[in-house]
Amino acid sequence: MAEFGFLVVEIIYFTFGILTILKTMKNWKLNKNRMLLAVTVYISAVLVRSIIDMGVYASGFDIDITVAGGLNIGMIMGFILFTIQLEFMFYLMDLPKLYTLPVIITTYLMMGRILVDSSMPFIIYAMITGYGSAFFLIKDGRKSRNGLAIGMGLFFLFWGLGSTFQIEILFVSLRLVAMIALFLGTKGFYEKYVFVNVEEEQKIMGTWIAKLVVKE
Amino acid sequence: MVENIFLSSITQLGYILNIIVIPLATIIVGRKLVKEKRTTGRYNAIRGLIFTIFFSFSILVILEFFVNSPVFNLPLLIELFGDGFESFGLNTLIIGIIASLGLTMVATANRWEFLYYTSLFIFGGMILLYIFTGFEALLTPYIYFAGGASIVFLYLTGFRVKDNGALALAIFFTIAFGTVIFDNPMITPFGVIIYDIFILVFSLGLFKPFKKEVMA
Repeated sequence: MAEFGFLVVEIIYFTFGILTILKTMKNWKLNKNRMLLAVTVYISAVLVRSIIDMGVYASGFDIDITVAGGLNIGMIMGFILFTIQLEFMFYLMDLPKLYTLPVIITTYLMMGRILVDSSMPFIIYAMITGYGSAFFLIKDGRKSRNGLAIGMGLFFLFWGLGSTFQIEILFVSLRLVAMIALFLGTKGFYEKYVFVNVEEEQKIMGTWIAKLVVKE
Repeated sequence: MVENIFLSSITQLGYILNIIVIPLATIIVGRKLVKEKRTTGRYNAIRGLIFTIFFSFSILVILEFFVNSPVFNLPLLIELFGDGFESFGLNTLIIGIIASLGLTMVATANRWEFLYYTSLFIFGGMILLYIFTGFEALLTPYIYFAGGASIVFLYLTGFRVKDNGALALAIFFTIAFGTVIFDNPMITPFGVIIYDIFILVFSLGLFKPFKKEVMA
C-alpha cells in the first residue's frame, strides 16, 4: 500500500517535472538564456531517475542491486545526479577550472563505497552539494531578483534535506516539494508574490492613504 | 673494489650536489618570480609552477640526503620516507605532486582551462582515499602515467608554443624519471649529476633555445 502511495507522489512529481521542462524550454526559445538550457538538462536527468523509481514502485522491483562492495545501483544514480548538480553549479558560477572536479569526487566516492560499507561519505557529499548550491542560488536569486534561481535554490535545498535523512517517505515527499518550488520559479511566482517591489508598494500605500483622506 | 669505491663516491657526490644545486635553483627561480611580480604586478603562472616543482624537488632531495646518508641515523624519517612507488610515503607523495604539477603546467601552457587542476584533484583524491580506506593500488600506475604523460606533453608543449620552461622541464623530467626507472648503480649517479648541471643552467636563464617565452 505504501508503494502505491509513493507511486502516486512520484507521478505528481514527474508531471511537475515535465511542466517545468516545457516552461523552461518555452522561455529559452524566447530569450536564449543559457541558465534555462542548463536547468532543462538537469531536470531531464532528474526525471530519468524518476522514471526508474516509478517502475520500481509499480512493479515492486528492488533497485538496490549490489554492484560491488557496498555500492548499489540506486547509489550510482544518486552520485550521477549530484555530479550533474555540481557541474550545473560550476557552470552557473562560471568556474571552468573546476569542471572535472565533480566527476573525480564521484569516482573516488564510488571506489570508497566499494571498499568500505559506509553511507557517510555519500551523505556528506550530498549535503555539501545540496546545501552549498541552495545557499548560492537563493543568495544570488534574492540579489538579482531572479525567481528561477530562487526556485532552483529551493529545489536543491529540499532535495538535499531529503537525501540527508535517507528515510524514504521524507525523501519522496521532499522531492515533490522541491519540484513544486522549482515549477513556481519557472512560472514567475517568486517575482510576483515574494519579492517586495518597493515602488509598487508605495504606490498602493499612497492610493490607500489618499482614499482614506478623501473619505474623511 | 676500486670500482665500488668509485661508484660509491659518485653516488655520494650526487646526493651532495643535489642538496646544493636543487635548492639553489629553487631560490634563483623564486627570486625571478618575485622580481617579475614586482615589475608586472602579477605572478607568471608558468614560472610559479616551475618554482613549485623545484621547491617540491628540493624537499625531496633534502629528505633523501638525510635518509641515505650513513652519518645520520633517523629511523622515523626512513620509515616515513618510504621506499619504491608501491606505497604512500613522503617519497611518493612528493613525486606524485611533482608529476601532477607537470601535467598542470602542460594544461596551463596550452590554456586548457578545464584541465588546470585536474591532475592535482586526482592525486588529492588518491591521498584522501588512502587515508580513509588504506587503498593505494592506484599510486604506482598514477605516478608512471602522470610522469610519462608529463614528459610527452611537456616536449609537445615546449615545441608547439616555443616555451623554454616547458622544454627544460621535459628534459629534466626525462633524466630524473630515467634515473628512477633505470635504477642502476652504473647509470643513476651520472644521471643525477647531469640533471643537477642542467637545472642550474636552466635556472640561471642560460637555457634559451627559443628566444620568445610564453606568458601564461
